[in-house]
Amino acid sequence: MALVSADGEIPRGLGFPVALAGFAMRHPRPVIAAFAITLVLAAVGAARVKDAEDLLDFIPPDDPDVRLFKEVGHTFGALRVALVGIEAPPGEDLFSAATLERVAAATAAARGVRGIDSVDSVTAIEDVVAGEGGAPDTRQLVELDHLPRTAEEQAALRSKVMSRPSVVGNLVSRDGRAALILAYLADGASDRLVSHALHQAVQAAAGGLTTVYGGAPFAGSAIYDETQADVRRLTPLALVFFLAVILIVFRDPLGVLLTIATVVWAALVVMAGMAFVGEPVTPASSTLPVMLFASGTSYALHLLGRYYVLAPPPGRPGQSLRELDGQRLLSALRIVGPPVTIAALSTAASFLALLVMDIRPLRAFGVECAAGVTLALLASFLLVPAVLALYPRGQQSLAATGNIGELLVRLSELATRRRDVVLGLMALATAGGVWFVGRIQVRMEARQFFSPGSEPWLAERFLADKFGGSQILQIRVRGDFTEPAALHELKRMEQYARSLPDVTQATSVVDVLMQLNEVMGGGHRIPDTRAQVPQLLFFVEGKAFLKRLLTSERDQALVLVRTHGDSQRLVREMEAYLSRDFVARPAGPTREQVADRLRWLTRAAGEPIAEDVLGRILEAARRPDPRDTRLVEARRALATAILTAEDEQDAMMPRRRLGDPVQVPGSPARTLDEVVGEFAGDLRPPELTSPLRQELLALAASPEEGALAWAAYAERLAGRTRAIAVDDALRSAGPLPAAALPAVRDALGDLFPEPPIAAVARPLSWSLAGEPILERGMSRSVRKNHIKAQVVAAIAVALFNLMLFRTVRLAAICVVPAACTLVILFGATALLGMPIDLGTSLVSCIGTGAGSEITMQYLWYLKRSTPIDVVRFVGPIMVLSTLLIAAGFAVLAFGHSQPMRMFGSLAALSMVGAAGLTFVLVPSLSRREDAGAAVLEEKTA
Amino acid sequence: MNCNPLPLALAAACLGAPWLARAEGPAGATITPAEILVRVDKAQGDFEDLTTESKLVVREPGQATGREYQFVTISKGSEKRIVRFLSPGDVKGMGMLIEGRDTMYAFLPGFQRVRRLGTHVKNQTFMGSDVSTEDMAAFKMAEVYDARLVGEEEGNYVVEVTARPGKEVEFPRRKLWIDKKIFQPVRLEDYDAKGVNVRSTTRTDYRRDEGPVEHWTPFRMTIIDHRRNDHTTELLMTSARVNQKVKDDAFSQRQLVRGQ
Repeated sequence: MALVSADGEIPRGLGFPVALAGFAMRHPRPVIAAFAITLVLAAVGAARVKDAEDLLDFIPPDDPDVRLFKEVGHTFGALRVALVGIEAPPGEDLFSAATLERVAAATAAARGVRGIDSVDSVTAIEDVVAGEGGAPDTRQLVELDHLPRTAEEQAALRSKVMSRPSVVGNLVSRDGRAALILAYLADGASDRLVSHALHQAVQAAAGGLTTVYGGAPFAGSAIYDETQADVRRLTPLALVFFLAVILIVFRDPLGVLLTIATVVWAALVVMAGMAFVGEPVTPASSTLPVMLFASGTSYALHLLGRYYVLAPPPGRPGQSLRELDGQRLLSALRIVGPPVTIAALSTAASFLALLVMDIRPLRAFGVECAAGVTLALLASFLLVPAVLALYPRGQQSLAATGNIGELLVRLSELATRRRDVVLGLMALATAGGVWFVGRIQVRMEARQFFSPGSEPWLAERFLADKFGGSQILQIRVRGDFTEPAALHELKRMEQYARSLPDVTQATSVVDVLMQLNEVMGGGHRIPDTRAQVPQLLFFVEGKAFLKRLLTSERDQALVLVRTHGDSQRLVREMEAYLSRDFVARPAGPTREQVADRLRWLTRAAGEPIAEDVLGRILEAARRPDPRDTRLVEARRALATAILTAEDEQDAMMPRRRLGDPVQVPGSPARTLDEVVGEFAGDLRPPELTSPLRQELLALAASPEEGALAWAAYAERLAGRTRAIAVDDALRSAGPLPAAALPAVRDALGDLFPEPPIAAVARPLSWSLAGEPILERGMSRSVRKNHIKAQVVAAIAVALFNLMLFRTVRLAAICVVPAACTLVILFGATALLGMPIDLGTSLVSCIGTGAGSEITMQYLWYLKRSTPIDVVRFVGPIMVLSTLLIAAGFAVLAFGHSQPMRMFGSLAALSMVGAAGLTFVLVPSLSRREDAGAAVLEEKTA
Repeated sequence: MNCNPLPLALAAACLGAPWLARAEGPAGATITPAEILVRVDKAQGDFEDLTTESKLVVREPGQATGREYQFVTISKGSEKRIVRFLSPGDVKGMGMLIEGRDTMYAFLPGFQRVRRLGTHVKNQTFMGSDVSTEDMAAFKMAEVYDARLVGEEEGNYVVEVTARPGKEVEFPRRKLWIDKKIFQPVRLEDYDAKGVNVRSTTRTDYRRDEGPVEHWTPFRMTIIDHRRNDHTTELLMTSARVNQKVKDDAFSQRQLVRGQ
């Protein structure tokens, strides 16, 4: 077997394995003692490594979407929202005293959790109502001091709660059977710690009611916990598997022990180092032991494998058996040292390629793995020789692999004979892979990672079924939101969003203002003037619900859009709308905008309006003639109510009867009835310059009170005029969806603002934020990282191979099978419509490093033997070694965690693929002079 | 718990104010805790009328600046009060009239309307500040709390008060540092039913009010609500005038509308 005795020249710079081993063999006991001591110390240190608490670490901090997500979260105090769903007992609704008490207890428990900033729930939410004196008042929607005790009270409360659009589908499910607690995490609070504490607190307080836990903090924690659980469960399995395979191959317990020891030592030292520098264990770094078992065992394996099969050298007189065995070990090291070193350095370099990523925990993971691989290499060159120096093993044959060898020979010969076909097919497959890789989807939505039946998966389903989903897109708009025109633009945006498929709710401060305005008597509509808006907001200043929708400076507002569908589609649709239709300097609703709103409103109600009907409505939407008898009667009724002080609340006029004489300075004496007649017959708009206003001022106890009375008259008349115009417009429409009718009336009423709405002074601008945008940012980062890291890894690996082979061509060939495998693998992933994630993107680095190692070993032995010998004798060892690594990764595919499964499967496939392509591609790509035996023959000739 | 007052309610009350007081001179050596509370109560509200101008600064945690409100308050006796907002511009001209604990009105110039407000204002905060309505209540502490002297520190009595059974108060236990000279709290710690310190207040910069009688007002009050991540509110007095012969008819809805 030419291979075994072919001690080739050691490339410059790669002689240190022999030197290290020589040192270890001269001082075996101190070396072993040093390893034992460091192992114990490292074990103690590793026990102190902490778990990561802040899952936001995985967010790339410099991505513009991520920055915006954080900025908006800080501004509105809603960076992370934990959602707790509570279901009423079977057959009941939420509104029994017993259930409400438990919801209230759970809400209080949630509020008491450290790290929770504020909590919303049906038992905590305040309701804007008309106070006893007509002013807006906020009261608890559910008054805990007066919970319903009878069936009638229960029905009344249900009716009250279910009539609040802001509550239904948000805090109470549409069927009234489930409540949702929204717990807002304080800035800087740990997702994991808070969500665990919240889970415990709510569970204890909910008194046996079914609870589910969703939202980003719970989802992130669940992913983390599931990954950790997988690692804890699968690492021993991987270990047992490795032990079994190595034992079968080596048939020597000491060999098995040494192989495992090199990796255990490396892993513990790295973890102790992490504890020392305060680096926590993240979901990525928790896979470190498995990663090291998969990639770090091969160094000791190669060394021991070569050592076992080498025959002892012929001894000189006086040489001890131990000395001869030492020479045998050094011979083995001369053969495997350089390629193993290059393999380890290539793998370490490919892990270090993660440093180009913009996600800190992945960069840390790259460094940790690189350190682990390097330490495992070091242990292979020190610990293994030291132990073998004390306990030498005799020559032995490895497990029979003849059949594999023959199979590989046939494959290799076929590839050589059909070189053009092989290369052509590969070029085609790779080109196809490149084509599809360009279309690969990256998804970082948390729900992609939930395993079916898991707690977050159940929560996601519950939230989708009962509350229209848990994904909320935030549209942040800048401007001056005391300006009615700016508020109208927000409302338009809200109504468009609500009309989109799968959108279940859209809310903004406009809803609050419309409710407040209604309570103040201005109707359920946006206030008409800039002066009114802040005065309405004054009633709810400081309320948590306001702070989440509008900044205290009134210069930033949020529109919250909830969907149970594809949040990225919602993002695209909203971006398209905002780019196309957003008006930066709105001046109140136009007829075209109102037409759009009618389309959206009816579409959201499930009955899109026909264009001809819409045309008729808009045609008929005209301000009524002042002589219209309905308006004449309205003026008469309003004037009577105000002038007789029938309406005390809005007009502080002296109490009079219609027949009473009144005297306005400069006018003849009249009865109040005659004055009312003047109002009824006045066809002029009720402006400040109206003579009737002067009369009212004169008839009041003071001009200020007269101004109050005129304002009340003018506003009510405007409202009546608007109502008549809307009635007339809708008369021609035929039946419209009842659910949309109030909003349709409101939209049409916006055509008749009184006074006219002024254009905004400060232009508006928009940006999208919220979890879907965070996910988009993370997805973009993953895509970018994926490509960057793979390119860097490939270059680094090629450079190391250049150091080994000293030819660019061979260095490049080393990378080709792994690169082709990855391109084809990710192309297939894209073709199958499987999105990749953060974990999957790591495969490209690892696949490049570990995959090219196989090719490099092939070429290294090729330089020392004939192609057939390499394939027949080294091939099976390479196959076994590859399968061992692949199996290590494949173990992860048995985890519950979706990203872990995906990572494990793809990593294993990339290993197997790279090995397979090595035996097919390298015979096709290599030249005759690459084979060492051929060169030797030529030289001899 | 129910209600939202008009925030103005608070403002109004702000100024009737338990932290406005007349200096009483040094305390006697043998004074009991109950007598200290009585002296504190007496030091509050002992005036015929009082006009103050104040600035309320509400800051969210971690923010250096906050939203500011300026207002003038005129009080007569312990019941009648009228408040007018001076800034910011979007609330300028708004006013509030308190005719008694159960009767309050607000004037909204943007709507040209007067509205009567709900009177259930307990446990509510003012304008998103950390001032609760109970802070504004004119109740006498000696009637609600039992007192215990827990020590003396730097010229202050340290008194712990506990709500008497049946008395509904926002804070069942409070700890007060009472200045021995003026019998005014310079520091307060409020505790919830579980004994957790939920809010801390400091009252400093006591100054004598302008006017014919001797009244003292803390010109700076800082309230930190620990339940809201140390949310902070500052109430800064800019002037205080006492016994200016304000007439009774200044406290009417008409005057509220007329803005006089």
